[in-house]
Amino acid sequence: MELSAYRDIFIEELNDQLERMDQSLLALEREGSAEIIQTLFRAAHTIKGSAATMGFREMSDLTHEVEYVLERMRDKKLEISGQLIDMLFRALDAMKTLRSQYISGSVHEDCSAVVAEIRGHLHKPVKKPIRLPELTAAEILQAEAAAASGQQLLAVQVRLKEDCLMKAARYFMLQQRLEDLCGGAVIASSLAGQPVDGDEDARYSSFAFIIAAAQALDWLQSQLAGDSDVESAELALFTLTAGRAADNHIPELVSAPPSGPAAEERPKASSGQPTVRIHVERLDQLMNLVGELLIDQTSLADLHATGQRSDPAGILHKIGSVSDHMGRVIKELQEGVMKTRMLPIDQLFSRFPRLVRDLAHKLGKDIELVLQGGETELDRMIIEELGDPLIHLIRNSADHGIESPEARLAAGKPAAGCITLTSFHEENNVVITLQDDGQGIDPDKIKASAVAKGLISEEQAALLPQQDIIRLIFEPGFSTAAQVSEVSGRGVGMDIVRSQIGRLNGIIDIATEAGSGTTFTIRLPLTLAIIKGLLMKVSGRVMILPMYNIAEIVRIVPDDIQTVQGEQVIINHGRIVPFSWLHSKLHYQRTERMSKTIPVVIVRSVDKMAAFAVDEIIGNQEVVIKTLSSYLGTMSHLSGATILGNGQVAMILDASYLVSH
Amino acid sequence: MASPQKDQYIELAVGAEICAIPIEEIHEIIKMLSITDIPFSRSEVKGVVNLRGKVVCVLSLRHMLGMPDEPYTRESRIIVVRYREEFVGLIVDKVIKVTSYGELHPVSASLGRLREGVFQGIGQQGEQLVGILKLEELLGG
Repeated sequence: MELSAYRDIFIEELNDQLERMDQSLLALEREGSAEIIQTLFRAAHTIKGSAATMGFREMSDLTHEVEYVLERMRDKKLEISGQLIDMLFRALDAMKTLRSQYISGSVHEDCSAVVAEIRGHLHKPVKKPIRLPELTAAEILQAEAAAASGQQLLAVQVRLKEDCLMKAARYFMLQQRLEDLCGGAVIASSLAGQPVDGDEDARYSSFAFIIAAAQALDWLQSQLAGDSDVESAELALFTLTAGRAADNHIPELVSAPPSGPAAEERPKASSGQPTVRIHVERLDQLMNLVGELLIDQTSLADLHATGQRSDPAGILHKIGSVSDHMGRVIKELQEGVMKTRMLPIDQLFSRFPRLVRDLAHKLGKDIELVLQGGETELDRMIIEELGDPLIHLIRNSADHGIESPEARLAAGKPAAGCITLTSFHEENNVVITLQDDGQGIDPDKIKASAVAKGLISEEQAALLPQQDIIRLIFEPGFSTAAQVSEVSGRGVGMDIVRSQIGRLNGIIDIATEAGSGTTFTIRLPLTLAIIKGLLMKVSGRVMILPMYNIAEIVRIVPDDIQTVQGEQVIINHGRIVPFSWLHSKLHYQRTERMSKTIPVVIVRSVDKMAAFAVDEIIGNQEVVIKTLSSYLGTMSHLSGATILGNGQVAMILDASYLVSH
Repeated sequence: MASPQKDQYIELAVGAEICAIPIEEIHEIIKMLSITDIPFSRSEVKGVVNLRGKVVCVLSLRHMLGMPDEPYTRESRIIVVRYREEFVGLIVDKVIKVTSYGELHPVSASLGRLREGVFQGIGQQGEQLVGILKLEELLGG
């Protein structure tokens, strides 16, 4: 298809417009302002236009209807109601379904149900189709004669406005007018042979004629449409099918009954093609930096050319300063390029108001979602991966955290619950907190449930500090909901959230107070492409661990290693930490020790810690993460590889694997 | 240049055996680079190399054809081939020449079970017979 080059652009624009519509619809639900309707209208109009250009008919048809509804709302001809907004949401969902179909190129699902629903809503009450008159034998002959003489046979269906007075009179006037206009004759009328009775005006509110016309259909149509008492006048070519003409409905006028809401398939919110939009200013900055590099390169070439003649010491000095400058420029360039990978987290947050709205409806609760710090920038890849765990947490808060309005009032809280999602930078991390003002988590319930499920023994439970008990919700197979609910799933929840966050090298923590709410705190690195890594030597190899997984580096003597219940441990700040040699963990030969002390790295991932002895700590530096070949299959113990300054490849170890295996 | 309708192959030595790979499946041939081993990888995986900033996984063709590994020599080469959307390197003992074959024969069953599917055909040039590797099969997709 020759338009395929534009498809990505279309999808991207569609994403933008759909997002805008989503937000505006939510805003409309809160307060119906003309401005919001106008925004929605513009978005629908834009989509309609570009979908039509691309030949995506389902989409343009659907948006056409949506646009029409919005137009009527804007013109105050249609009242904003919850039902209407729900319908628009359904239309929006159908548009999203269509979008994912365009992306995947799969079989196009029929969205005519939604279209029909909208149409049905607009033409409420659903009007019966107008029956065409049945032709008598004489009329058929007349029609055949007219057709033979070169006239067109047309079916004319007219509906008068409801407030039109003296409909019967209008009917006769229209019949007369048709006869004058068409240059032929009215052959039959659906009301023919019925008594003219002023009291039965309703009978004349809609009627149909069969005419033989010398004039063109379009011209007649425009003439009739100009009549102030006519709501609609439809003309169509009429074909004689002897005696069965009565079955000849004009399909356009028959509005299909709304048949059930569109399939509630929620398309994945990921976009089609991974493209980036970059502010021109950022690109210009990058360009300037590249320019500076070129200048540096020229001065190096100059030095090379003049170097043979002048003094080596001076040259060396100059090379040093050029190198310094290049280093600075490269650093800036690196930061600049990294920034092009960054997106404001709003891109993710903006999906949630709709989610919370739907959840609140479904659960019969009143929940307000407050979003803060949406401008915080984060690597686009992290943003994409963060969607699922956050949705899970929000569902959990809405389902288990926020109480029913009655329970809240009884507890002296406002009936509406509040979920606050905040994001901010802290050092080299992005912190996201999700706070609800619900019932909090009861540690005793968690304890009882964990014991009942066999996650821990009663004795262990008694010894665990409060905070550790709460953290049990992150253990696989844990769910406190008395009942598995449709909203927050089947108890496979929090452990998956934790591992998803862990995969992003993030850390999740929880704080809760019974009766007043729960706060989840997620800490994430700014980017996944470049990390600060700790370089270590293990059996002659350089191994790297991400710095954010390093809790501490200590030196121990062999006597510090103790054995408890057959496991080696060390004591670090009064805490017992499992100990092992990184060599044996990776199945390498342990090298002969020279010094008396052993360098040990204490690795932290999510909420687990472990200590690993290495041969030597080299230091930390920024490393670019390169993915390993898919030929290798799953390598859960590695997060990738990097290329060191000397050109050697070094492995980057996965901290969460190390601490949990 | 050989006649255009004849496909060209690179002949290479693996142990005592000579195999061929269709030239269009080869991205480049490089000398041995320093290899970083990967913990817990399959035994044919020798590790990864830095190919101009790309981390490329290298495999022992000897191992894949059921021969024991030998120390690399000055003649050892890495043949970089496409694998899905990326590249992998195959370590061979020696690259012999670019050639084409007068006759191509189907693989005979006598090659043994281990080799089944690994060869796409046998090339014949004069008296010599050379197995043409089927990379797709060798690399498992």
